[in-house]
Amino acid sequence: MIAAGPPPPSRPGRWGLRAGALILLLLGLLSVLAPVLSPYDPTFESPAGLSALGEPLDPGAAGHLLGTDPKGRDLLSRILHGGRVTFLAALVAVAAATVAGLTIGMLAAFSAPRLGGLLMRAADIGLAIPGLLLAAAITAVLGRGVTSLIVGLAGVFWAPLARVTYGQAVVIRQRPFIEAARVVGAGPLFTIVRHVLPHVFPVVVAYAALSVGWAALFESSLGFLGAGVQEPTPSIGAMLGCCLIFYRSHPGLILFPTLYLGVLVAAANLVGEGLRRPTEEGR
Amino acid sequence: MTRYLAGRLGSMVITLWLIATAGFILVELIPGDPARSLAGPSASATSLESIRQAYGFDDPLVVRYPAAMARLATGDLGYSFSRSEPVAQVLARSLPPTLLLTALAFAAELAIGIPLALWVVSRPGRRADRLLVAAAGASSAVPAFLVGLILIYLFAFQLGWFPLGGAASARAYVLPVLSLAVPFGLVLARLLRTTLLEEEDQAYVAFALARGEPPWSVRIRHQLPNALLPLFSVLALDFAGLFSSVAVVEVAFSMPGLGVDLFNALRRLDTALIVGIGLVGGALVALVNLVADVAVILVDPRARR
Amino acid sequence: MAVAAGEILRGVDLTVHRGEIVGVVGESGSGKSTLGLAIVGLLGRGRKVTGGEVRWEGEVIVSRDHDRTAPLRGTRIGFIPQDPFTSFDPLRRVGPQVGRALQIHRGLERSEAREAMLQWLAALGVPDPEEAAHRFPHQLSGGMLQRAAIAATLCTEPDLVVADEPTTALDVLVRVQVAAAFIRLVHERGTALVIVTHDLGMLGRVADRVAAMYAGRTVEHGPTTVVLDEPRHPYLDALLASTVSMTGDAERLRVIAGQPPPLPGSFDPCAFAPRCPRADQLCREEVPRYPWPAPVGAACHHPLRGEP
Repeated sequence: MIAAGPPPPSRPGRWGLRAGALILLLLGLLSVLAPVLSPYDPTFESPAGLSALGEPLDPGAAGHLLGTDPKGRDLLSRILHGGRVTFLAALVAVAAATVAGLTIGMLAAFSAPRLGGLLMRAADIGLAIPGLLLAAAITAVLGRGVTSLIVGLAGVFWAPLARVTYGQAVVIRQRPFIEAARVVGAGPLFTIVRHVLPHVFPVVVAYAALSVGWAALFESSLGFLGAGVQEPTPSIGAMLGCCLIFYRSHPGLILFPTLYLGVLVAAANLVGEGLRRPTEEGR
Repeated sequence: MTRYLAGRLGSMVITLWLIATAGFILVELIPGDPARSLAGPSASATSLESIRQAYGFDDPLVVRYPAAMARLATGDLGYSFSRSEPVAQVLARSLPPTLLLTALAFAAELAIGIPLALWVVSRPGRRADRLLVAAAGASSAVPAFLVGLILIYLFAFQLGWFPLGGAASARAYVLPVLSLAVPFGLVLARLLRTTLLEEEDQAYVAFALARGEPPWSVRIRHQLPNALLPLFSVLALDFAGLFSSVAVVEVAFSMPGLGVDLFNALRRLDTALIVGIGLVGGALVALVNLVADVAVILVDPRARR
Repeated sequence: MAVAAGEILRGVDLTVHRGEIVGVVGESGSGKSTLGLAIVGLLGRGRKVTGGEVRWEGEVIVSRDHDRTAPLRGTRIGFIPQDPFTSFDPLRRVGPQVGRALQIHRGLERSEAREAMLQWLAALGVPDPEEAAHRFPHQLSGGMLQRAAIAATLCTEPDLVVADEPTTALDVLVRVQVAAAFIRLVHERGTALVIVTHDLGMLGRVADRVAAMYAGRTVEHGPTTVVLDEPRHPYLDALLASTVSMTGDAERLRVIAGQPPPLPGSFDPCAFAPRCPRADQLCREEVPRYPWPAPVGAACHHPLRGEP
């Protein structure tokens, strides 16, 4: 007797999607409530926040659950506020990049071949420059700050999103039902919005979710290199960048922001993978 | 083949030209006086004027743009005020160590990813599989420089097996290479595991086994090359990603190279150097993509025309 | 009683003697390919043997708990796959892939294996073996590739060859040529052959015995002439009637209504009952059993003919 085994299960499935979404929601809530939850002003350099030797306080010190940073600022408050900046910057940048990428990708797939080729060429340029260097260059040129950080991140992520959109749209374009829609007299715009977009959107959203995690990672690397937001504004990257030299004596200064970042990125990955799975199986 | 190569080289030149244009636009977009941002905050009025002359900031765009492209074509990438030398000179000195580290990390990525994927695929059951997916997910949720810091903390600071930083000895390269190669290698192993499993269902695998070829031999001789083929473009992207991450890891390990240059340039807003590093990165990615495409043609007879 | 969900093959019994050609016939999805793969221990991912056994010279080589096919594969048992186009590694030249088994099992040097390989290609009617061996798989026709696949299997002169639809993927004229060359070599060397196919015409010409399969079971078995001329099982009768015969009159051509059940799946005790004109209540209540070890017979409650 020969039997077929159960279909091979693979990768985190729906539970992963749910868990990831729940964590993102929680982080979003923490971001919104950061001003309420934070015990201190994140930029307040408290004289009591440093030890007698002028060192940052260790976690568990009186009044500072996670200790303080080298300037005597409360670490918990900075993580709550800095996480908010990183999360929001990643979210806004990817949202902008998604809108741009979706528009450009669809335009490239459904406009005249020459314009389409030009648009995809531009996306290829965006892909050709190593992302971190591109983001660093953009933020450096625009000057430091949250806005230029967002522009820099969006400037990196629109290109792959345009590619993903274009790739998916080209596949859908060849499906018989598009021809059928044309035959029954549907206009091109109607066809795109009604018949193509519903097939392109899920794939793009899945990729965008993954991009949120990557954008947060980029922010941390940029902050580490000294690009991105401007002191005293906290962000995960800025906190890692400024406190790196203390990682041996005060590992908490690196550990706690990293933990926040890791949770954020892992949650975004779970959501992205979870969204990507059904669309891949559908093929 | 020659015609194909010529075509690809031509399109690479166009790509480089477009990247250069992007760099030009970026400098144009700088708010305020571009000459000031290129010359640095401490520049004297005379040096500002000479830069304004050299870049032609008083000329109209139609004159300035071709002039800028012509300068780039001759290898003149401008002057780095923070290093007080031409950008080309900085790059010529810093690129080799960075490329070396990138190449080492890439080799290590393959050395970790390929055997790991082969091992996971050869394991019955799903435990090794799940472990790999989890490890790849975890390692890609943390930036490379932090992996580096953890390695430094454990193996250099606590155990003292390796130097804390620098590039003085071969041992100094172990930790930086590992901190890049481990996360990239895990992600590669995960991708390769998927394509290996896809190949496992191919008829040629069953037929090779049916002729008595040992399973490990089928895996390495037949399955692996076929499974790697669709990953060539991914590997090209990985190389570019490694190049970016190398810059950061170099800073974490205080190794000389483009990373430290970028670090300093960003802090002092040395625009000429930043754009120069971006151009080099773009050129490298274009080159690596070309290499990947040619490699596909060399490996896959079906791709030859 | 219904057959448990998840099972592809059950109630199959087949003995092959040295030098004998046995045909296994059935529609697509009847489990006949799975049977072929099970004999060589190559069921692949996601399928396993849950019961029964395969014996080789009296010793169990495949059962629920073990698989001892590996040392026999390629040396004593050969397997010829269905689709010649996907059966060779697309990245390597055909010749070395054909001669590879000789290097592994006979310990031949590369050049010796090459000589032998070229002779085998020629024996199977490849017009220019040197040229064909130097090509990559995608550069050869299906006929040439299938000849190469047969050469790759026969070159180590196994005692038993399992061939899964060895000529189905080929054009009709090529099919006849390849089959002729293949069967001639099998006869010459006294190789036992299990040929899995739905080509009843071919079986009629070459097979000593035939087993018909339906929904993962043997429904009829016996000497070729007996089984194909005087079928007992209504399914085989219908199958024969639906086959175009070169000499018979076209009016007899019929189709079998309905579809065979998907495998794995659950169905009536007699899986053919829903499509069978002779089915009654008994067929839906009790599994019809083949009268093993009878040399001729059918697994049917209402056979068209009695025992011979």
